[in-house]
Amino acid sequence: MISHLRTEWLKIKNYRAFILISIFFILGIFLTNYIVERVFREVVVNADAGVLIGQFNPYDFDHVWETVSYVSGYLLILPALLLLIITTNEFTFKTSRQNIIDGWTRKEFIEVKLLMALIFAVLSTLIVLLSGFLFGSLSDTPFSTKGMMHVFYFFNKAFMYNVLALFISVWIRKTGFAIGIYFIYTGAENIISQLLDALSVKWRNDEKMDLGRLGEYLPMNASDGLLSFPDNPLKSMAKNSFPTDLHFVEISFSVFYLLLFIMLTRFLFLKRDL
Amino acid sequence: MKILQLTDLTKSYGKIKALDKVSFDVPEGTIFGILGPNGSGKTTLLSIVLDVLRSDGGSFKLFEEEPNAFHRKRIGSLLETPNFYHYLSARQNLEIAAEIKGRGKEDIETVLKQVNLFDRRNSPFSTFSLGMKQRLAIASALLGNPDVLLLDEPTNGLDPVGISEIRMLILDLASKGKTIIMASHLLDEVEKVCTHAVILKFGKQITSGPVSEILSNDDLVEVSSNDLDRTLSVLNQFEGLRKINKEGELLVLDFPANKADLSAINAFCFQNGVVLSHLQFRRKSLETRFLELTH
Repeated sequence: MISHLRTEWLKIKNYRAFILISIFFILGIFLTNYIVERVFREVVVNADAGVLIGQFNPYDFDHVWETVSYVSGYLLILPALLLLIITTNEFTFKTSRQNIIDGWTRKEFIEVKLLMALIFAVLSTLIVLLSGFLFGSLSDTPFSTKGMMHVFYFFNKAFMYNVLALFISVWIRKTGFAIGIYFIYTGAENIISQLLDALSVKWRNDEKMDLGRLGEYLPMNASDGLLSFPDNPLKSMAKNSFPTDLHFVEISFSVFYLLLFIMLTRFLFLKRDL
Repeated sequence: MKILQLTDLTKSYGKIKALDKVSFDVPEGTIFGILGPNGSGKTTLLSIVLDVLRSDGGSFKLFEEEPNAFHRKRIGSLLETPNFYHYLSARQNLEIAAEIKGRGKEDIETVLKQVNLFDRRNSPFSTFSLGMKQRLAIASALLGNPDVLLLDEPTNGLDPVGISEIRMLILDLASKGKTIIMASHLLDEVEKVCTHAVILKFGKQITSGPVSEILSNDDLVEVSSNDLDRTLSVLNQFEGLRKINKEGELLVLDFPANKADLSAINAFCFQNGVVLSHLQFRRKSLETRFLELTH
């Protein structure tokens, strides 16, 4: 596998899109968190809501892991798109064929790509850990690992986004079309998720049936839903009318979808002509 | 040893049979041509051998074993079009191929020189002309000095000098004992380099064997007289004659190679009361033979 990873590295290390997207992503994580932090300090605390929020700082060590994971999660579309472009390139250039002709098995080809999806997720998580540590340190509060589980949720979301991108790449093969499908799917899932959420609120209030937030049981939303902005006085007020967040169910769905899409990706690539 | 053995290999694209029970062996040390017009199934056949396509039926063996990825690493292949990463240079692309084949990088300069691309080794693949792309693909096939080369239309897109260079390269490699399997629709190319060949047409195997046998230049003899019908019936008795075609005022007699004897034909006709007004040798061209086999 080391040789396979070295081969993947040779493929991308001089690829401009890889370099640019990586820079955007890394800078993006630090900048986005910096902006949220400034907005909280300068705007929210000084506004009317500030009365309620009081001394709440989402970037103190007790909240930083949750906040950073939640905020950075919005940028995970970037590594997923990068993986999608790299993979569909293989079909466009027909190098997916050439790698097999040169002596890889189909299994090796698709498994190293899945491994790349995992590595991209691990690297993204490391950047989030680093930025959490940095912003936490800047808050002048004592170090704490409270809420660090959210970094794992971030990893889970990163891996899910990447695996879904890989699945769409292997399925669609054409770069532009695959990017389009990825965005359409994301949008469609969010709309359906909102509708399901509305339904679950209705059920909870009218039928007294609390099944959790149904919208969070869809592939991308299952991993999205695990991440949240830390509880604060404002959020707690609105919370009472929502169904309970059944974290365990969401995690189970999330792992189920991950395994499902990994298997589908493998199956599709192994089965079809190249 | 047999490098490649096909047994009833079959592949369909929907209703179209791209390969229909194709069977032949490629002996070690031969230059084996896979010959056929466009769409005859040459590339499909090689794609199956290289695990890019799945066959619907039949089987094949490489090096007399069940095929696996390790066999492909031992074969230098060029399939259809040169497939490389457009944004990488010639050199960087070959580094990837070498890594996959499990070969060192020390070969890269040698193979780039072999195909005259050394000076352009650092240019991106996207800036290459069709001929240069083709030469890079051949360079990639040569990486690691493989014992078997599998080349699909290797001279595609090359200029006459390039074609001649590749031909010399193939002959040179063959003289070093390498086995070369080459698909082509260019008869001239096959006649000049191949020792053995198979001819395909619409996925069906027409014939296979040593080139000298398949593409043998049969002896054709033109005859004419003032009574063609009678001449025809007389000549039908002539021994050793394969067949007779009527072409206008001429009868064309088809003999196996080097078997036509003009004086014997003349004497035979005369003895049977036919006086020939025209009697001439006609060498059958390779092209005629090919068209005959594939049409």
